[in-house]
Amino acid sequence: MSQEHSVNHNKATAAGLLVALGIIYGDIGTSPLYVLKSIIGDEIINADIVLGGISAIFWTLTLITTIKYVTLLLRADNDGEGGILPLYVLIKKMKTKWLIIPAIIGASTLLADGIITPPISVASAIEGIRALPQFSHLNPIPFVILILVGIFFFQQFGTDKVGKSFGPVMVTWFTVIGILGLFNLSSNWSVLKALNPYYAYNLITNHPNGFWLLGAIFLCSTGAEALYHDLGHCGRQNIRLSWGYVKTCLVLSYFGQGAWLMSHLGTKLNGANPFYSIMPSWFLGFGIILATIAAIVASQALISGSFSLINEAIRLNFWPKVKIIYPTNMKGQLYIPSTNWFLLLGCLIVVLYFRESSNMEAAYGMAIVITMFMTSILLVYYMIMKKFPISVIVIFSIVYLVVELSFVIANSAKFMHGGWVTILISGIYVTIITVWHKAKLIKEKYLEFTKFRNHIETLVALSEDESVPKYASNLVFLTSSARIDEIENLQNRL
Amino acid sequence: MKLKIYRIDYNLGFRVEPKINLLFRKVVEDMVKNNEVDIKSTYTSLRKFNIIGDFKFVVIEKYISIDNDFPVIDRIVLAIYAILKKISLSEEKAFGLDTSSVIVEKVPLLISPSSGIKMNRIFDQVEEG
Repeated sequence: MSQEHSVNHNKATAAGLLVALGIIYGDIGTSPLYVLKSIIGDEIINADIVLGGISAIFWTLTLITTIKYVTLLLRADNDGEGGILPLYVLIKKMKTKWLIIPAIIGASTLLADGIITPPISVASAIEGIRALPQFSHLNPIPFVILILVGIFFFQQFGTDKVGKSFGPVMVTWFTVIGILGLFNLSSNWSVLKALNPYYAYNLITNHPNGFWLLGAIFLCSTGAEALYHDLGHCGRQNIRLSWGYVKTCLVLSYFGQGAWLMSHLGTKLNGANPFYSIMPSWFLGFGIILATIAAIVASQALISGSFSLINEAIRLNFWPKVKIIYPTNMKGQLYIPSTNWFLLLGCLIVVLYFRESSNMEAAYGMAIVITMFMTSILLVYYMIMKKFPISVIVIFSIVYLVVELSFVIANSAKFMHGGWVTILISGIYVTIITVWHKAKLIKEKYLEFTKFRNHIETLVALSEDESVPKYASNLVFLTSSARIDEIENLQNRL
Repeated sequence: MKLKIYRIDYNLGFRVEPKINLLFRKVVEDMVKNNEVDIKSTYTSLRKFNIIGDFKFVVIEKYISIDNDFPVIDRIVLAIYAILKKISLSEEKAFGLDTSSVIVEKVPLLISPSSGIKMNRIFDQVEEG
């Protein structure tokens, strides 16, 4: 088993790369649909905000996704598996008791994030249809609901067959947005100067309310956590190599949108989405369909991720035992009905409450930014455990405390704009996990174990005792004792 | 002599379905093949006809009665836990056991004798006639 794992992880294969592209990058790959639109908002388009915005996006993708997730966290695998709970299990050995708190909060906010990622991706994709003049007044909500219900309904049949098409779909998606970006960038190469982090710094510190724009900028990296959680599925090298391609295409798309925005200085967006605006009009129909399919892939990845997370939580005694179905013979395919329908309910409430993707943007990010902060805390302890150079640990801690805490603060402004919904859901998850875990601890405190050896004689005598009527030929008891020579002591319980 | 008591540990990965019913059968088949275990019925009559003995799975449900002197926090936790337990999957189902061969035994985990209760035994005066 473990050998199979190590082979999977050290080699990148063409098939592995395709699988990785189809599973991991849905969320981060559909962010170009709404990030720049959200940064500009109702402001009059100006050079400061455009260049500062794409500069901040580039550096957020670099700091959070490339350095933290792809470079550092992908090393922190637990027997091949990645994710916040496997990471917690790894560092549990350090006997630092309070680390369970960031683990629980991180897992809960990640699960809560699952009710808003599918609606925002699907809604921003579908809303593109308004860019077509004949549909400018179309209400996209029924279509969004139809697609979401469809995605969740099909979970029970297993997704391995459809899943195979996800890789090619996402390759097409990234190539298309990359080429479109490059095409627009070629009209104005000067926006490349935004690669200089000064523009990001200038936006955040000097622009009025610039700091709070971090809440919108952060949306470009909301999918980064998935890179780590799907480590077990895809393997380290596959993720690292594919990220190189994905990041190039994403940056081209953002910079292409930036070039388009630079040619519209002094105007307002007025509901237009720069993502769709850079498409030639003859391409728009195809672009919307492709974006919708990419949004479906993003939702699918998130749903599968939630199933794995709940499964891990159950095994860790963090979550009540619930029905788990293995719809196909493919190993690792899970379907958890309770999680599925709860997520769908959450998604529908989000769609009906917020109605527009722009309203969702105002709420999105609050939960996942907390997940990332919690993952960083655990990562610092991992680096201490693995005896990373002290300088690396200190620099990482300071840089990410500043960067991620800024993101947390900027995102907390979203609370009143609907962010409270995800915080409320996170609270429900935290309560369930805490209660379940704490109750088990209370029970364990009163559960004694006894050396099995001391009872063999009595049991054998009982089995041979003809004066006791037989109950069955063979009895099988399930024990929760981890030690091989012990068994629960349940004698004298009256 | 063949041993009468065995402990079986399964090392199952995160993503493997814990179908204990099937996995257990595999183990028993293997042990029979190695002549390690005798699974013929222990009932004398049936044993005579070489009939295979039955297997009964005993799931022990350890519960805590809340009327113990717990701190308030623990009592709230246990109250919510009881609700979660009710809506969650039972142990035997979670382990993929066939319900026809399962018996659930409930065992209280803790009876702390509430102190401070004083009882007096009253002997009835039986009148003699």
